[in-house]
Amino acid sequence: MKRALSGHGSTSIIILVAALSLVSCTEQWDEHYYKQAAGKSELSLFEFIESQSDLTIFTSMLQQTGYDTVLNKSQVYTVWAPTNEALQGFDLLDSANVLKIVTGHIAWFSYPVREAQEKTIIMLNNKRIFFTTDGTNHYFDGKLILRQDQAVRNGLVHVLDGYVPYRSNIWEYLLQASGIDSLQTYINSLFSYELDGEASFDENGMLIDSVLESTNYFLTNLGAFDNEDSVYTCVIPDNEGWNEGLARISPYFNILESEGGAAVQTAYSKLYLVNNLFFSGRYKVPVSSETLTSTGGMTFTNPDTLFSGGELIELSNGYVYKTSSFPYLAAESWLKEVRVEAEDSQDNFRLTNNYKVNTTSSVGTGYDVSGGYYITAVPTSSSATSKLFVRFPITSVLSTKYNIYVVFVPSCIIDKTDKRPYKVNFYLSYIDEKGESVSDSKIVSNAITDSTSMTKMLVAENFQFSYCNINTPQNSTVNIRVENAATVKATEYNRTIRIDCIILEPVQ
Amino acid sequence: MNMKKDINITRVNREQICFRPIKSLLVMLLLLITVSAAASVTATDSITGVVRDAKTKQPVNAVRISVINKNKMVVTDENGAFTIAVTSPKDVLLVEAYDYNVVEVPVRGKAHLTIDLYSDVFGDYFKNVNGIGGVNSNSRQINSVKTVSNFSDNQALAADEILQGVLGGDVRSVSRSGISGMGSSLFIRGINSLNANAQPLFVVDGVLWNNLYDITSVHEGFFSNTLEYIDINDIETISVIKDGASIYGSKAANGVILIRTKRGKDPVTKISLNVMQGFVTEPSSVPMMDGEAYRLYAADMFGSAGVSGAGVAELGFTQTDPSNAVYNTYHNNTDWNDEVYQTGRNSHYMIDVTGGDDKAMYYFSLGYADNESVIKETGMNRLNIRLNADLYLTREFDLGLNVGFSRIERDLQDDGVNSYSSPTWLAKIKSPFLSPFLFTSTGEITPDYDDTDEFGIGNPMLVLSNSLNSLKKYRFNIGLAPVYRISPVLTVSSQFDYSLHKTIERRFVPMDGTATRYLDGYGYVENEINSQVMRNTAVFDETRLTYEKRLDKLNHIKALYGFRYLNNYYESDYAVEYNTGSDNNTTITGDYDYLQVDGINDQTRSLSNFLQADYDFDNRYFVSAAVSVDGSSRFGTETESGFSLFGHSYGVFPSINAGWIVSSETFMKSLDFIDFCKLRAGYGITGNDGIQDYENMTYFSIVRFMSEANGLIIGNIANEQLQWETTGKVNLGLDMGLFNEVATVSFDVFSSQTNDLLTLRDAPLISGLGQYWCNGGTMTNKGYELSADAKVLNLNHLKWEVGINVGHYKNEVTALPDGSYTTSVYDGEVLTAVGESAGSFYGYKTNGVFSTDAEAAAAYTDPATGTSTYLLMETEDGEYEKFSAGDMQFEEVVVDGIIDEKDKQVIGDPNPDFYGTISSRIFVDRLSLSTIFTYSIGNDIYNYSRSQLEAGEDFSNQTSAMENRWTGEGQTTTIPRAVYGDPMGNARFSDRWIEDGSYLRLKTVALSYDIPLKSTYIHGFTVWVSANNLMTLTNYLGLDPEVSAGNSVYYQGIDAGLVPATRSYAFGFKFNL
Repeated sequence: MKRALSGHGSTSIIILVAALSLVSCTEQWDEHYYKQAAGKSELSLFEFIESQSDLTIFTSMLQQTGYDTVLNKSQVYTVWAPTNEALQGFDLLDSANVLKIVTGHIAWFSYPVREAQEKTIIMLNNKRIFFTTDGTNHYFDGKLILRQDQAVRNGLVHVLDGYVPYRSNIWEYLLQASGIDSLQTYINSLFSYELDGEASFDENGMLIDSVLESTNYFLTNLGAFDNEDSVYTCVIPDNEGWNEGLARISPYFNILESEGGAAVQTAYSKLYLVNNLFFSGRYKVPVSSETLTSTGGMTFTNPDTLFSGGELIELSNGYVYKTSSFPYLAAESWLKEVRVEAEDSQDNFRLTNNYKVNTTSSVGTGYDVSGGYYITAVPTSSSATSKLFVRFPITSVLSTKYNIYVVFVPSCIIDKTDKRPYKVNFYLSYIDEKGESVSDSKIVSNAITDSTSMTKMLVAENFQFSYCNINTPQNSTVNIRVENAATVKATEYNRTIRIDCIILEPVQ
Repeated sequence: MNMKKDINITRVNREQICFRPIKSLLVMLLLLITVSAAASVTATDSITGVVRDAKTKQPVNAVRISVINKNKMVVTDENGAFTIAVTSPKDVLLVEAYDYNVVEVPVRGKAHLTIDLYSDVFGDYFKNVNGIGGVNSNSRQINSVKTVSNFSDNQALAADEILQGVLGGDVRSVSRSGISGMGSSLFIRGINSLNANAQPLFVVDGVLWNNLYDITSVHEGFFSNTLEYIDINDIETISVIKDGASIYGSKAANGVILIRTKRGKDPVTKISLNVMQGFVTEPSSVPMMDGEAYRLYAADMFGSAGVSGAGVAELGFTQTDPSNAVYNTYHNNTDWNDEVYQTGRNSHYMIDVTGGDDKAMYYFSLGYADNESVIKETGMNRLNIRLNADLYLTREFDLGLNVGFSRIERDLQDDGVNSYSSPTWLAKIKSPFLSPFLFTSTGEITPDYDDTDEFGIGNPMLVLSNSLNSLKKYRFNIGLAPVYRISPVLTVSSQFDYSLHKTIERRFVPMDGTATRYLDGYGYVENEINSQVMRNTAVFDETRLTYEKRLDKLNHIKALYGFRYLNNYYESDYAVEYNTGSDNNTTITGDYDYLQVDGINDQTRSLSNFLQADYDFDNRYFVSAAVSVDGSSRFGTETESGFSLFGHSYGVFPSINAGWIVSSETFMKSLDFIDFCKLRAGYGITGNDGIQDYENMTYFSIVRFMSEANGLIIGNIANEQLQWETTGKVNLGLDMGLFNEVATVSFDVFSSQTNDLLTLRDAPLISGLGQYWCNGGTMTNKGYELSADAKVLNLNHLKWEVGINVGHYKNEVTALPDGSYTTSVYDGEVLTAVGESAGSFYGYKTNGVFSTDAEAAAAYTDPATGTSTYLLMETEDGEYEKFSAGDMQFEEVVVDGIIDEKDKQVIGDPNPDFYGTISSRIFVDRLSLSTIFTYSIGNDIYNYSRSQLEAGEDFSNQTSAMENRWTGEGQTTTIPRAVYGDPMGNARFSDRWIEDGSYLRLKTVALSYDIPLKSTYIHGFTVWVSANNLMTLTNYLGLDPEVSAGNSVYYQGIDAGLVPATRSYAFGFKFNL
């Protein structure tokens, strides 16, 4: 019985003690749900910065730009606040620059110094700034952080011994830098504007505002120079370099007056001048890579020659080499080999006479056929007098000298026993120096191809084209006509001929 | 001396108790019987006495006094005096008086007795109890049995709520949800199974019910509660049998809950009308971040998710300019909790009629309960009809008839942690700065609900309005209970019952207002339709042959043989489809995406032969032995513990219990303060046949191939040795009445061991079958139960009685066939290991948040070099990441500088140290005030809900504690930094989410008044008001420390975010005609 009573008593005591201990439940509840973390201020970012005696200049910059309001809102930011000492001498009257500096020291989200591991922070002004550490101290754009991780209600404040100057990006540089007026004029001429349908109309199709969206050839074709995430290295000719470039390029783009003349010639010249000025990535001389490909698609084998003559300007999203010369060679830049694959020559423009043309693959034949295909021109007439020919339009021919080749595929590519060569004539159509059209001028007669191997036949050497035909791609002024010179009775020649391509090699 | 001896028995070490108790007990009892028989030679011929009112000490006349079992009865005179002949100094007088409680008074060789009676408003200790052998006086019960009755002034919808409120120390009852009728997880004397049914057996009017413990619903957060079918006003008594239940053999290892429904007793026609009206308060919410705090948090999430500042600046929630068209959309102050919850309403009407004549007695009731839930658009109603009749067809032959019908209809919503379709959860995680309503492009609010927000979180109001979730349940039963008295001592009786239980569930989750989600193995889904129909048909019969004879005035014997048969057929059909294309298409057609169908056809047949013999001597010594022989279609044919007969295997489940009413002995004469003292001891073996059907057989399962065709694969390989779990229980009990019945105490010590635990074992890899069921492993439960009641005040107009009910058990897994294993539950792990309690939480321990990087850098010291460095974690990519400032510091078990699986340890135990109730009943004339506290001490809770609301890993709104998260070097806090996706696993399953679930709850306060009426027709009119859950003292950080995420042992102590219990108030009256 004593045990029973004892058990009862002890149990009651346990329950009583437990009940009393549970009385503190509200305290524990509040402790968990409402207690503020030690070391965390309830002030807003702006209130905190305002409360710091060594940040009064930055405080006034925030107020000046309206960012005092922004930093009081319920959005998370990290502010790298420069001290008064760091901002000594800064021109607060330059409102535009003040805004740039303010937005260059604020970033969305919270970045404690634990993340300072070569991390790139995107600031409100879209600039990328390095947040780094040496293991002991932490740096923002190389400036020492004096007081770190000041946690407040809506973010973090790091106090910075210095400030991050505003750096333009390439696009801003192109539009605003001095000394490159010629280039800027050209860029400005390439802006076009379209109505932004999504922004201009509501969901019911009603026009609510005419919002114009601008585009520019540079941004759409050569690179996203306004994007801080896209990094480029650029060769930017100043006015002198621009003029030199134009002077060197213009002769290659001589255009008939009837097709636009000098105006079009200048337009093409400028286009080919700028097309290879930009390269993705950051490069400093010496460039470690042996070749670089421009955003215009040309590959340069010795990039140092492009950059070494220029003045290096570091921008937020890349480097500019500003140059007073035009360091490009014609052969590496605008003057390239013209190659017309016979099989690619459009039926609409390729002319045939008494030939039926088939495209044939060379795969597995062992012959080095350009593009892997050639055309087979099969006679459709056995008439002894009928002319058999194929006429190829040649586009993108510049006003300079070329060696002209026609490449044939031997008959034995199909039938190894067929050792018959081709016997052919060649005609050239072009615009002469007087601006008059010369049609099917015979330039080679009865040329005989190799019967067992590919034949790269020179049909014109150092032929000077007076006008470029780049402006008339669908109505080419330059044509090569390949005519079969073998008669029906001349059975030692094959009247079915196989053509690989036409090549116009510029003469340097 | 003898008393001392008995105390010594309790000191025998537990192993001896478990395995050698019966023999010792029998020897002792025989010795005592011999001694006491010799003492009876000195019997007094007659004794005198006086009966008084315990308060006034005034004599009470017309008190009926009889000698138990001796056929002697007298009545007190006007002076309260009586003289009665006794045959033995050990006789016991039964004292019965109108308006007073019955008492049993031992003579103990005294010549004169003074007996004080207490008003019958106090608890009646010597009441009749519905035990295993039928109804008998509480004083003669030798099993550990508790019975409760009379629940009319109660808000409870189902019997489990009664158990929790009244017998909380005898049955650990944990409510599953605050939604009415969701039921409770019930555990009697610890946990007796790991993988099988651990819930007690329900026996209603002698019929074994399928408790459907493992039935899942298509509605998340909904539980099927079998007890919901019974209106509590139909219940006469609920008894909890905690030991000695071997006649229920292979089904009784988890204890037995006997429910008896009301029957006609009195030929006078009585009509009773019960009416209840009540309301339930809205659940509150844990403190969540307000809109501005969420705005900051969301920015953190976007930032750590890799979204650029420019990208975030274009989102609606960052717009700060009021002139911006979307500004209004993102600048509201919505209390989402208030949007989805409402004040609930309960009503309950019940009318019953009893009466009859000498040919038949009947009880008929009609009940209707209507509930408007605290979750908007949800509720339930229940219709109950019951007819219990007893037909006295001849002098020898009676026929009992039980007919019951229940229909329950529910409108539901998914509940709990579910970011997709649970409006209550969406209300928690939805940003407060958003509105339920859509805004136009010019910023004007519209009456239309908005869709999923830019954080990917749906609109709970659209889910509420567009979901079509319903559940309909029906249960019909008809029972026949013939009784034929072959002779005065021999009776044959039977209980036949047929029941049909059907559930129809329908669920439609709309596409409007819910986020598109990815379904593993299928694809993206926008909306979802589920349908499930379940039928359970049971045929039951139990036939008993009972022999009962009083051999003489001292010896009484009762024996019974019984045969029980149960055929249970369970069938379910399930289908789900997705992407109906429109929220107007809400029915399954087979034409939509990812159709999946499933079904179950389980037929279980079990039979039992049982034998029970009870003997008592001189109303002092009691012995009861029982054995049952059980067979089941779930058993293999070659079980190790059973025997084989006719190709089937049978288990044998014996028990023996004994009792000694010590207080009747003459040596207790001098101990006047002990009115009643009974010692009980028993040992019994019971089983658990809660094996899934057909697991002893090889069978094929249907599989769907490429969504094109059905095929068959081997689903299981036979295990002919598969058998029941076997639980041996030892019980020692002491029941006492003290200080002239001022206090009563009942104390039980128990120890049980479960062998042959059902466990899943890996099949040979080559078989490709995964796992199969087998037996192996043991588990023990040791503990005690205490209940005590005391009459604190007994004044003329004021009476006060208090009671306490305490349960305690210590569960321990003692052997496992294949070693330790863990079970994944709600992103956590539950460990099953030797030496640990079942359900133990297994995860990481934490030592706070690294305040500084320097602190993190010194977290691990290499024992070889003495250098300090960061703790590391291996990522999925095979790289090692540092735990640095702002991360949790996890404790290492294996000190190697790397936090991984090896560092997991037991971090919590959901099993309580103590649990039970504290009650108080105060009576002021006709007014009574009843108060019940429930409590649980020492149990841990895995707060899964909080683990989701403080994970800091996605765009879900978080609790206000998240405002305390680490954001910068040097901060001292308990909440780590918030990073999208939680790459360092700071929110992993750890002791961050394990909390002390101890609580003390003011469960019920009920005030009733019996209105005095002088009417021939109205026999009683009682009005009452009650309130539930008025106050809870707890340190738990969730809404409700009473949590159970399911019936499985592994789901105990897990807060799955279901609707918490809230305060409810009710008014009712009872009208008797």
